[in-house]
Amino acid sequence: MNKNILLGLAAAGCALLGACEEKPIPIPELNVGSRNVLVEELTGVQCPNCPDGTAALVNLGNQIGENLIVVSIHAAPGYDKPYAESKYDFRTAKGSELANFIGDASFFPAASINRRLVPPETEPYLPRQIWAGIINEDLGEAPPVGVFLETSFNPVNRQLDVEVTLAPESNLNGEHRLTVLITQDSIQDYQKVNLEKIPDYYHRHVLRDILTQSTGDVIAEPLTANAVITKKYTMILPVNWDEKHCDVVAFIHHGTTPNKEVLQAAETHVLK
Amino acid sequence: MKKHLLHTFTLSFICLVQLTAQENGGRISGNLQSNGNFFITDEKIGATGTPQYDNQKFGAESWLALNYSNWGFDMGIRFDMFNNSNLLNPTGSFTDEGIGRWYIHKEIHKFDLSGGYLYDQIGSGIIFRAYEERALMIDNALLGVKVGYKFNDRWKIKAFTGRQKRQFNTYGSIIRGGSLEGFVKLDTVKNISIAPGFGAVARTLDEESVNRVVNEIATYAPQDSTGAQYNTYAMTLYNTLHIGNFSWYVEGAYKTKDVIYNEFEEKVTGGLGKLVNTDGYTAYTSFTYGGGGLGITLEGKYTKNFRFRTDPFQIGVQGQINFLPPMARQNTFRLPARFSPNTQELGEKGFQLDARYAINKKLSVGLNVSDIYLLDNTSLYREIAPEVTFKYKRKWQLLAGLQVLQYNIAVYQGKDDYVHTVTPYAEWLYKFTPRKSLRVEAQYLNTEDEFGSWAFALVELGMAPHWLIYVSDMYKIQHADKENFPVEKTKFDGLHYPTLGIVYTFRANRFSLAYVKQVEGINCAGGICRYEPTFHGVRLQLSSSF
Repeated sequence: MNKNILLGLAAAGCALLGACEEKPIPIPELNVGSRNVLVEELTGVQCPNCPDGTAALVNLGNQIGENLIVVSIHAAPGYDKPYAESKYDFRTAKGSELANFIGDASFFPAASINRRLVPPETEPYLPRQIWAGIINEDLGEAPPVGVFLETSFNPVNRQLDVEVTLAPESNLNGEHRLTVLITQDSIQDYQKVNLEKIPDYYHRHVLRDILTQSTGDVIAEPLTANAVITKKYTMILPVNWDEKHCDVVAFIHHGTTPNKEVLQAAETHVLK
Repeated sequence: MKKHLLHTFTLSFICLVQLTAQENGGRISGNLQSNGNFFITDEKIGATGTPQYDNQKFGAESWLALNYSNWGFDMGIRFDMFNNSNLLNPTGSFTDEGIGRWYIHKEIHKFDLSGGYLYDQIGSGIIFRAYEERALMIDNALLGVKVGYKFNDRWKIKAFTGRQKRQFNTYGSIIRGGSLEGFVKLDTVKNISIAPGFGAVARTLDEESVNRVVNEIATYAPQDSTGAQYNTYAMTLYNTLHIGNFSWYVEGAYKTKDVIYNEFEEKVTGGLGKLVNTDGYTAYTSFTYGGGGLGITLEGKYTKNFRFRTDPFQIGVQGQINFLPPMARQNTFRLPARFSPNTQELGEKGFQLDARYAINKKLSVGLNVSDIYLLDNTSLYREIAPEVTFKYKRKWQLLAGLQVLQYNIAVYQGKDDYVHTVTPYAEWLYKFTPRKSLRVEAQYLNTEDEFGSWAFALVELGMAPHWLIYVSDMYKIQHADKENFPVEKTKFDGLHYPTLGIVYTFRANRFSLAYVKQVEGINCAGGICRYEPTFHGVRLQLSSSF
């Protein structure tokens, strides 16, 4: 009987541990090409853990450079209300519409990366642990369409003109949408950081307004290889927005649930 | 295709049950558990800001299981349903329904064969435990096959392979493992025996997880960069020694290099949290003695880097392959249970002593001591709780205790520093008649930390065998010098959290309806905890076995 037991143990050991010697997986270099990655971070002035997420994105931005485009949407349910002492209210109706359109977030910090659904997650808002990996994954992909931005700003009447050019690399079938929005960086105001209320926190990449529909304008023109589609938008920048820190972000994406994936994005400063 | 197969299986199962119900020999059993929550917004206590409070107003969960045994086969199927449920994520909403479990089991001579969604564990679960804990939304059944073989009455071996369940899906990683367990009677007269065991589990990451791991690591600075591999192996050796009234369990486990997420490690580029590739180990022992009115359990545990998940990106209660035994008791009274420790997979050491002594038939005393540290000797949790129980004939019974607690809320909940509490508590049970009883609870949690002190009282009238009516209130004691504290600490001052409920029991069926106001806190089971947000609303619960 003891012999049987030993044989059984040996067989189990071989099956389980026979291949204990593990080959290390090669780690690739950070691959930054022509693909830009859009990160839409869901945040709020009273969200205690969100600044950790923002810091992680700032670090990634420093490393990746202009290929990483971050938009901070102040619409985290239950956490987005400003304090009585706050100078600004970063919430906007369009921002809330946009946040709801992307999906449901049930933890914070949360951000969508190119609005991708990453199984087994069931919503595009992803936990911080996987942001860097997904961003890097997308950076290595070639964009199927080019997005180019031109802006001009008149400091006298504060008119901002935006021209977006879309240049597909191949024929793109199905519905595609274009979203154009304005962000403002480095706004100093109250923010909850863990348990503390910080009065002079620098809010990054704050979504200010959306020039298209929040869900994106459906592109009626066929997206065929070598075609060039141009869209123009105009707005008057409110006086309390510091144009030096404002950016225009444009991106082309799918727009029907569950596929809202962003194909390519572009960002440019309002002042050059 | 998968759904189609499941529906075919369900239909076949129902047909089989119908067919064989007409014959003798078959045995059908089952159970139903349903929860319904009506959410009522109350901004004062923070019952707001979730989809249920803002829009949905109602959330429900239900599990209906049916088991059938015949011809040496055991089989079962379970329907799970979640409608706008906050069980998966306390601040989110989850809706889905489907077959939550099915299984088939058959014993053929010395072989034991199972397939489907399987619950099982090796040893105390340190390297593998597939189990269900509905209150925490843990259901990490293994979808796979298991083969067992009994050499004789004393020795058995098992092997299994599969993928871990995730709601109505599975994780990509493959888990496989096995164990050999025995029982040897060394001395029949002196009642000495040993029950040794050995187990091993391997996890192979799927391609998608590997890609995610390497893409994540590729963004790290060279100083933070770490290696990665497909396979991780965990092995455990355990034994229970019985000598008369003594019992001693010991288990030691080792895990080979594994990429795990360490939320406390800082990257050189700044920011907390990064992937590390490291091996880990854990040791657990428990010593128990029972006899002559005395019962003692002494436990100890040491853990280093023993986080074992289906992939390194799973957080909270998701994707846990193993279970590390907790080093603190599960308090049942409301206020002593307010600060419960979450098992630290990345590193902790601690011990727990639980002793009971019956002085005579009327009077018994107890003491529970728990002391847990991080590996750098930072104190995490210290609980000292003496308790006394006095029974007066069969008329009434009084239980009184005192909990002295030090709780590292910075580590467990990411806020403040330490919470120090002193909580006296008492429970008095009075029997008017053998069927009619009154139970009264009173507790006072005294602290200057977190939100400050709380008081709790409960009165419960029992009319056996059917009815139970209870009313309770948890009250936030006001700070005497409120203006000296930040608003965050005093925001619940003076608030009442009343509950009023009724329970009806008929045989194995239990219905309960309650109006509940419940403060935010931590809900734990077996050292696994999750945040429970404030609740205000009506709770309807039904459980039934047949």
